[in-house]
Amino acid sequence: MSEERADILQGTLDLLILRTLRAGAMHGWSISQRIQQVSDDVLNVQQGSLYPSLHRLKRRGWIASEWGASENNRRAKFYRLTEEGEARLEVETERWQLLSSAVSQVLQNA
Amino acid sequence: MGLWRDLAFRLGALTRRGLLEDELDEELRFHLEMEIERRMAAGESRAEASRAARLDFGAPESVKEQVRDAWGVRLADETRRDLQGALRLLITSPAFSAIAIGSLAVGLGTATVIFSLADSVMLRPLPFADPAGLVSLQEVTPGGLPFSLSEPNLLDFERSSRGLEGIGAWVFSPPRPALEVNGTRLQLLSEAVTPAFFSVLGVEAQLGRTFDPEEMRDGEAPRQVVLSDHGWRRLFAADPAVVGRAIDLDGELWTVIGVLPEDFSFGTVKQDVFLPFVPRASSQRGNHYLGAFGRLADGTSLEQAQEELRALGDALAQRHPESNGGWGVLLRPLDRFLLGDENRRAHGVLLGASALLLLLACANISALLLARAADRRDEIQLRLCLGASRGRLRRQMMVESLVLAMLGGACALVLAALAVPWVRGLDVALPRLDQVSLGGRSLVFLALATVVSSLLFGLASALRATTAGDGGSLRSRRQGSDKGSRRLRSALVMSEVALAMVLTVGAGLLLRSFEQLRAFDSGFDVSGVLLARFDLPPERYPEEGEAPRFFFDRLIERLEGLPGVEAVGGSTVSPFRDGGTMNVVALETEVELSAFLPVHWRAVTSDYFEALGIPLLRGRSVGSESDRHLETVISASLAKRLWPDRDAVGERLRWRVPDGPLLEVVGVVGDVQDLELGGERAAMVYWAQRAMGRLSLTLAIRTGLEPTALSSAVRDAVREMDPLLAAPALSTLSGQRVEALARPLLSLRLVAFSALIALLLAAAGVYGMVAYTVSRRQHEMGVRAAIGALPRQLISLVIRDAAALLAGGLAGGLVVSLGLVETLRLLLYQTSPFDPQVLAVVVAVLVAVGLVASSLPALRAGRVDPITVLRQD
Repeated sequence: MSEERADILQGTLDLLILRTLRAGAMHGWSISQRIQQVSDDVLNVQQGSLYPSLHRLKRRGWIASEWGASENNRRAKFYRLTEEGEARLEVETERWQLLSSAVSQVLQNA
Repeated sequence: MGLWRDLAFRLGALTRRGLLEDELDEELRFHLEMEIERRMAAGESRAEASRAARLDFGAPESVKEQVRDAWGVRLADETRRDLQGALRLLITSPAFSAIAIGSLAVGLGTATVIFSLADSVMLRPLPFADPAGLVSLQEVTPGGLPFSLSEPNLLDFERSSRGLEGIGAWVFSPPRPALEVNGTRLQLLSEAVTPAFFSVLGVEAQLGRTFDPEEMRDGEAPRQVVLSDHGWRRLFAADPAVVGRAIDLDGELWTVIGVLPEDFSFGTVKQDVFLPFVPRASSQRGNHYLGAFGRLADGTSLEQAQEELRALGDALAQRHPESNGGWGVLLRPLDRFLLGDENRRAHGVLLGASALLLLLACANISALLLARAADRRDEIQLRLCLGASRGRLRRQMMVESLVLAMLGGACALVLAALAVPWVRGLDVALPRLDQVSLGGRSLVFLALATVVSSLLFGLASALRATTAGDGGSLRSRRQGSDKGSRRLRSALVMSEVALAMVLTVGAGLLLRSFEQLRAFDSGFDVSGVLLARFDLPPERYPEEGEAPRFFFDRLIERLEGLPGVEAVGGSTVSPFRDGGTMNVVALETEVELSAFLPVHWRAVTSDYFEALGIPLLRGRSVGSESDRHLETVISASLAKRLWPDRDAVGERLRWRVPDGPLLEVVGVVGDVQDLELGGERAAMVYWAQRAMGRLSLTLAIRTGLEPTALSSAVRDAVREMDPLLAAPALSTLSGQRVEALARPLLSLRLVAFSALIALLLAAAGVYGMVAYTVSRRQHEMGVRAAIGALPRQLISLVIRDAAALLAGGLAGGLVVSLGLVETLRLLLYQTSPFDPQVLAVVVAVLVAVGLVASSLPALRAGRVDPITVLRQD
């Protein structure tokens, strides 16, 4: 099917999740809220892709998870960045900036 | 590193699956509730918030599915589902499962048992170091017959050859020493081997050591023995302290220096002990009784070594024309020599037969699966319409085949585990037969055969089911859009018939050959004879002295006096058990070695011919007086050969070499073949045993009674004469003859068993196909019956179908059979591989089996009731 497009979207979401988690451990819902807020409601994270992404990042060892109490005192699964994830975030950020500046350059000058 | 973590994660996901699912549920639920609370905080009512949140969230199952994907367990999930489906399918159609698993179990089981047998006897390398470098070394008679070596020739080859870096040898007809055990004597089987025997083979003792060639250079062999593992367990209860102990063999003390490894095996004899034999240059060069093998030097090929030894043999022939003129040398790979061409071919045929049977079982199951795939057509079409991928469906069907195959393989393992001990315990002269086991190699074979079978029988139906009839066929239930599948099934059933025919032809030919062998006339009367083998200890009965003569004279006299005994005679060769002893003879006027004829010879007592029932044609038997030692009796064919126009009695013949003794012919007896069944009746010279004073003799006791009834009387007589003597080994002549049939009987049994199963499977295949066709055509039959077709006509309609299947199969089978039977030629005795009678019987059997198999569905077709059938629409 449309594997490629899915990949790009997914890769971007991964990057956003990693970046968001740099602020500290968070559960899934607050990650999606945070991305939405920070992007001024431009980016709306679909749950259908958020959770698969979280579990995939965990499988790769870039984030870890543990159960804890949420702000309203309920049991929730918190995700945090691992050391490996932090290193990955740097690489991915650099790559994203390179790509986006290249794309804007093309959009402006071509 | 990343790979390992990934695998560990997936494995964790698989093993802690329940927990993971619960946590996922909880995580998603939490998310939903947070979302609802957020919306309620923004002023929505609970119901509104809940509805909107759920809509926003999407189908939770689909999210979960994607998360599971992220866990990397989808393949495992699907496979598990496929496995469950496969098991459910097997349980819901027990008849199908039983037939499929059963036929596969028999096919795989037979193949595994035969593989284990062939592996132990033939395929596995010999239990020696670098067995590929070992070659047998034989001399070749002027007549081209591979033959044993003489001591001086062996020493010359050993000294001069560069291509062989070591030569080991053993003595044909070694001594059978008697071991003293708690005051009684136990006769042992021994092998007398040269000091280098074990070092050339590269065999190390499991305890102690083997012979040291340095200790035995020139001269007497020290009194040392090496025990086989078998002898060590049998005689000394595997006592490790036996090494260094002195044991009493024939009244003399020998030191046990070592025990051979458990897997050591040489030839077909189960030796207890190995005795040293040091060849001497002073022995007669024309006296051949050594078997030998050599190890190829590094970088020397068998051909190069053969070339070198041929040259050495030629040089010996020039130097010693009186003994070596015309003789040659032959090298062969040692494993071929030890097993023999006939046995190799027999095991090749058995392996082939088991492969054919397995192929047939696969064809059978494949046809069954095709039929089932036709029944499952609707299900498959439905799933295709609902978006299942073809690859996914194929994978599912292959998993089903694999499950079927594994169950068949498991049952095969049980069958093989039951059959292997039977094979191992058979009394057949095959090397390493007692080592046949369901070991690692057999298990790997079974596993591979199982997987390959599942591919073979699964592929056709998997491809067929998922490609045939795109779209539309959900509607067309009765129209035969499955023509291709039916044609494929017919082809499979035909090949089943063809394979069954090939196996049955093979079994038929082996059976006919076996019957000819069994009816083989050896030239003497095998019934009513008890055989007793004696090996006198040389220290109390010096060879060629008076003592052995005196002992055997008195013993024979005593035995003749037993009630029921008609005649007692002795010979140096025990019928069908010992190897032949050969020599060359000529007219007394001949001096050229090339004019001498090869003959077999035995030393016999005067009543031997009477005891065995060999007819005395002319003259009289050898005398019993000791001064008549140059008298001889010869066989009719030799008499005719040497004196075609004269009576042989009174003539003289020259023994062995030009200055050998002249023997006076006093009688002529009928030709016999007492070595093997089906062999040629050989030219034979009988010496007077009385004159030779031999220590090893087999007495034949002819009686009107059941021969074994004399056993205890014979043992008593021996004990009374010499209480120190080991009790003689007793057997019946007819029993020894049956032993000679054991090897062909084993091949026959295994091939016949395969053929029988093949016939059953082919019958099941034909039945299944015809029954299926009848059920598909029931509607048509009903219409035919309604417009006036008689049951007889309906039945013949079905039979015509069956006949087409049979005819196709038989034609194919005939072609394949005629192409393959040539491989059987080496195993057939007085039977042509193209025996028309066998072919005719096999065709008749297959036609009968096929018709019986199709008669049931045919009768059902004849009973079709038009009303019921037409009402079904």
